[in-house]
Parts: sequence; C-alpha cells; structure tokens
Amino acid sequence: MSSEKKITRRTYLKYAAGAVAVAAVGGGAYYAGLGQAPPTTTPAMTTSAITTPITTTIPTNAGLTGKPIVIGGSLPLSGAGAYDGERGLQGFKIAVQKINEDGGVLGRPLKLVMRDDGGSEDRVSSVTETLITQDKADFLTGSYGAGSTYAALVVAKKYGKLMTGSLVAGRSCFTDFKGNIVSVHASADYESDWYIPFTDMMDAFSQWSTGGAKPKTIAIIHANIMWNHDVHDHWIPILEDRGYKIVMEDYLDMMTTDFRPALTKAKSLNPDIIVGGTWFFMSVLTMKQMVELGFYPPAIFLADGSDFSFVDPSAGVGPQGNGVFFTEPYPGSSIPELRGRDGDYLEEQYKLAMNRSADYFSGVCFSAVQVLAQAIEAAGTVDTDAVRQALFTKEFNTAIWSRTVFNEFGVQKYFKPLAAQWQDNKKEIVWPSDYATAKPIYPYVPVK
Amino acid sequence: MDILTTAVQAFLNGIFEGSVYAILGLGLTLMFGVMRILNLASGALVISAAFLSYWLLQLLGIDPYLSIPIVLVSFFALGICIAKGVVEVSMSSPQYQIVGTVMVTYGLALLIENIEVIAWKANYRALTPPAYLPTSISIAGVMINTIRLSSLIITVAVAVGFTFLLKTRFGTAMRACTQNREMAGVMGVNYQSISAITFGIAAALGGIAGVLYGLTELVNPYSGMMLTIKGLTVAVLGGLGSFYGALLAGFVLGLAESFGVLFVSAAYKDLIGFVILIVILLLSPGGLSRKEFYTPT
Repeated sequence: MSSEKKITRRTYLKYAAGAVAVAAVGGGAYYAGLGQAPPTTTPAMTTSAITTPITTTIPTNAGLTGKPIVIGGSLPLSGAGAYDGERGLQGFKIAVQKINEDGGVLGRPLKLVMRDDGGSEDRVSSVTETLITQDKADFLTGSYGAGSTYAALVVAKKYGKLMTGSLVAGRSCFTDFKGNIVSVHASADYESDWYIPFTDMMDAFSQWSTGGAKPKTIAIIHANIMWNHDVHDHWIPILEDRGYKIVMEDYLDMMTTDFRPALTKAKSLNPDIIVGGTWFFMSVLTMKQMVELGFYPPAIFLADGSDFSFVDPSAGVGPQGNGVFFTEPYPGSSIPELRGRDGDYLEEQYKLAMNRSADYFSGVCFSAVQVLAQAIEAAGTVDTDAVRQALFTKEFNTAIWSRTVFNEFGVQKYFKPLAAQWQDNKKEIVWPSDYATAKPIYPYVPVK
Repeated sequence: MDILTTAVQAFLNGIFEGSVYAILGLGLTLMFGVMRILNLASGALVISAAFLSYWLLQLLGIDPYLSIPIVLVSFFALGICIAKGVVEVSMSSPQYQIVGTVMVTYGLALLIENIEVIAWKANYRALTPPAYLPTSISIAGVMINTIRLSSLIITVAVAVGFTFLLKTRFGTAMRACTQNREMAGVMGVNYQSISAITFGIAAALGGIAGVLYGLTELVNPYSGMMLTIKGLTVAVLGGLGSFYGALLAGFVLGLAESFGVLFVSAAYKDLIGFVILIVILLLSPGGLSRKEFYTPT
C-alpha cells in the first residue's frame, strides 16, 4: 500500500466541514454554559497583551491637563507566571488610578501601558523596546524576576530610561545598572532579610516556647535559581554563626513537580526545620508531598507560603497548610496600622477587583508607581536626570513601606518583613512580638 | 528514618513515578511504532485530560476515578479525529513525513495549550482526591500514597490489557504495521484505519495519564511540554516502537531519578535520567528492548 496520498479537493472540503462542525459544537456548548470556567479566585484574563497592551484610561473629571506621563512595563500576563502577573497588574492599575484621582503628577495624568512578556526574557527585550519606541514610555516599571528585569534594563539603559522595579531581586540588576533602577522589593543580598524575622524568632525560642528543645538542624530544598543561591550565600553563614546546622542544602529544577525524592532524603536526616517553596506552586507541592510521605518536621518554613489559597483548595493545600511558617513581606496586609500611604485604598480597590486582600505582589507594584510619582513631584520635572537625583536622595512613603529609601544601588534599605504562621486556617503574625497576633506554635503537630 | 526504610521509600517513590512515565512513554512508542511519527502534542493532551477531569469534578461532581472511562472514550475519539484530520494530512508527502508530523504536532501542542489558557486560565489546578481514600498508608515506617498506588495498579492493568490486545486480530495487525506496513498492506491490513485507531488508543492512554497526573500534581496549561519530553525519553529508552520496552523504561527512569536524588542531588534529577538514557543507548542502540528500527521500504 503506497503511503503517498494526494489531497484532493474533496478531502479538503471534508476536513474543513469537520472542523466547522467541531467549532460549531464547541461554540454552542460554550454559550450554553458548558464552557464556563470553574470558580477561581482571580478574574478572567481574556486580553492578550502581547500585541495589544493593557492601558489605563485617563479620568476626564479630575481636572488633569497636559500630556500624560507614560509609565510602561511588562509582566507575565500569560504563561506559568500569569498568576503572579495578574496580581501585579492590579497593583499598577490601582496606583495609577489613585494618583490620577488625587490630581496626577505635576498636574499631569499618569498613563500606564502594560505588555505581556509571558515570563520570557527574550520577549521582555522586544516588549521593552516596543514600550519605549512605540508606546513612548517616559519611565519604566515591572518586571517579574531577575532575569526579565535584567533583560528590560539592557534596553532601558540603551534609551536612557529609568526603571522603578517591582519584583526584581537579582543582585546583578543593581550592580550592572547602577543608577538606572530602584526597587521596592529587596535585592538578593538583602533578600536574606526575608528569612531574618523567622531566624530571630527561633533564636528567641525561650521567650515564647512553653518548653521543649530549641531547633538546631535545618534542611533546605529550593528551586535552582540565582535568587536562591544569592540568598543562601548570605543567609547560611548567618545561620551557622547563630549555631544552626545545615544538614541538607539541595536545589530542584524549576520544571520539577516531583519533590518526593528530595523530601525522602530530607526526612531521613530528621531536621528540626525544613525550608523550601520558592514559588506558590512549589510551596503547595512541597506541603502536599510532605503529607504523602508522612514527613512532619517540627517546623516548616516556606518562602512563598503567604498565599496558600485556603479559599480555593483545588489549587492550594487547604488545612494541611496549617503550622507553616512564612515571611509576611507586606506587614500592612495583616496589620492595617503598618500600611503606608494609600495602603487602605489599595486594600479596598484590590478587594473590589480580585475579591481578596491585597498581597505582596500587588503591594510592591502599587508602591513602585508611588515612588516614581513622588520622585517626579520632588524633582518638579519629568527630566530623567532630575528624577534620578530625587529617587536616590529622597525618602518616600509607599503603601508597602511607609519608609522607603534607596541605597546607592537602588535597593530599598528599610525592608522589614514579619514572620507569620498559618494557624486554624488563618494567617497570624508571630514575630516580632510587638506586632504578633498570636504566639508561634513549635513544634507543630498536624491533624493527620 | 533508617537507611533501609529510606531505601524502600525511595524505591516506592521511583516505582510510583515510573508508572506515570510508563503510560506516557507507551502512548508515544505506540504512535511511533505504527505510524512512524513523534507526537509532540502528547503532553498537551495529557494536561487537557487532567483539565477535563477537573471540569467534570467541579461542574458535575464526578469522582476523578469515575471520570477515567469518560476521559478514555473522549480522548479515543479525539485521537482518531486528530489522526484523520491532522496527522494523515501532514504525512501525505513522504519526504517531509517526519519533519511535517513533528511540526504539525508541535503546532497542535501550542493550539491545545492556548485553548486551555482561554478555558481554564493560567492558574494552577489540582484534582481533589476522593475523601474515601486515605492520603497514605504507613507500613513499617514506609509511606504508601494511595493515589500513587492506584497509578501503579492502573498501569499494570493497562499492561495486562495490552498483552491481550496484542493477541487479538487488531493487535496482530498493529504489530504487523510496526514491523513493515507496506507488507502488512499487501497482506490486507488497512494501514490507515489501524493508524487512526492506534492514535486513538495512544490519546486514550494519555487521558488516563492526565487524570492520574491531576490527582498527584498541580496542573497548568504550560506543563505539557515537560511531559512530552519525559514520554519521549521513556519511549527512546525502551526502544522506539517497543510496547514492553516503554513500560520497563518508565520504571527504570523513575527509579533512576529517585535514587539519583537520594545519592547525588535533586538539582541533577533530570540530568541523571538523560545520562541513563545515553549510557543505555550506547550499550544497546535499540534501547532496553534491543528493538531494531524498522524502516519502511
């Protein structure tokens, strides 16, 4: 039987008819309600911002005149990072909305132009080029992560643009582009502050424990990315100085979803504390697979354990997440008195848009726009050099940090997160004791 | 946990993970064996099966295990449609057959991915395990996850089912096409029908893998390509076109990864798998089954 087959017109028509029939059935089913996506905690993301940017509208009733100041940026609005990208986008949009409601900047409205980079560094470069050359961005903001931000900064530097980063952490972004970037989010060197409140809490064990042995041994299982290596380079010597022993330090490939081999290894070492969970999905999988393996160390610390989505257990861990420690990098999300400027507004608007409280990602993005707006006001002009001067010399009040000051590299000097723990399906601040809403529970004995 | 318990736990981890790999590889090797195509959309189909099961659970309250027959039938039909409507067309020109099918199935993977994003968004989803199953059973300190145990049982059932299938008239025809489809055609085998049904079977296997994957992992529209790579690794390791080779290779890969992490590092988990693949291919180019590659004359 010959494998060659000529495609006749009849065959083409047959297949085309089949395709139309499938599309008709699918479309009919969709509009009949069968195509409704299940309930989700995040709103539908139907706009592809790769070719069509997401822009904010300028209010006509605010008395704003003059040419808009354009803030351009990119986020992963599709792809695996879209969950975080959507949260960040809301933060940006709400900030621009608030600033325009309050009279804009120097009497001029702000306009946000946000493009989707899909989390790909290659795409970030071309998107940033588009933001500057076509969208005429005066300033830049975003991106998500060290790699993407670095790619954006290469282009930004080429055109002499300033960037107020939101979720950038890699050290090289600050050292290689000194003077071109400031970031409300801490860099990897300072990122170790992410873990310091938890470390301080463990050191002060006797102050809050009711007995039992102080934790001594730590197993670290994290994603194999630059951020984690930078953080651990800084944090591990601090831990060892304080008398902790690192019994395991291992790194997982980013695409891995099976952590059981690494967790089995950790379980055999019987650590007091296990540290892991670089991103939300890793935190969830770490917890789930620890439960599978019956691995319940006295303390679990997950870097991204602040959003276990108890509301949506199909994507989170539900009650199995109770007892987990994590850093609360946005203290104002739990303690309203700690919110900085317009923190209440962010909380209110975010709840309207997303049906949940504002979180760290939305907070840093909101604050990134605030910093830029305040710097322009302080400079009295949109001239890049004058704004740069203001960014590196002034003090700012943002929703996430009421005191925001950047060092010579553009890193926020006053990153002061809190230690938190999930208790009874609720986020409790457990350290420092001045702000604690509950005492830490250690060892945590889960209900199996 | 003592050394023996750790070793047994690692062994079980490898076997359970390997059972999903085995089904992934089996589907790919089937398609290659009969149709001589590499289906780069296999991972995307697995993910869409997981989403279908998720939808059935969320909208209609259907237990994930009970959704398996629904997914099986749906994906069998879908596989036949893809074979007839997409793959056959791309195979029309012999000199571009391999390249053409690779490109077409890659395009199909992207299409499926984007449909999933529109339908379910990019958020992670997971199938809620049924409440009647305990999470894990402990035997002498070794934890046996019941859902992963069910993956193993289902894989064994698939293997047994395949053994019987290969002995049927259809199975004989399928094996004939694997060996030499031109000669099979001369002997009266309708190669195109066999191909379409084989693709349907492979897609159905992917459906099973999808439900099992959704029960144990977090599913995201972009997870498919990683699964395709795993499946390809298993198919090549087992010997392209060898059904039992793929089954064995799945377990070999799972065990290699599990023990590799235990004795080396989690950072090298995937690397260990590829090193095993290269070593075995160097020693036996036909893979674990030592299958010779039959080319159509």
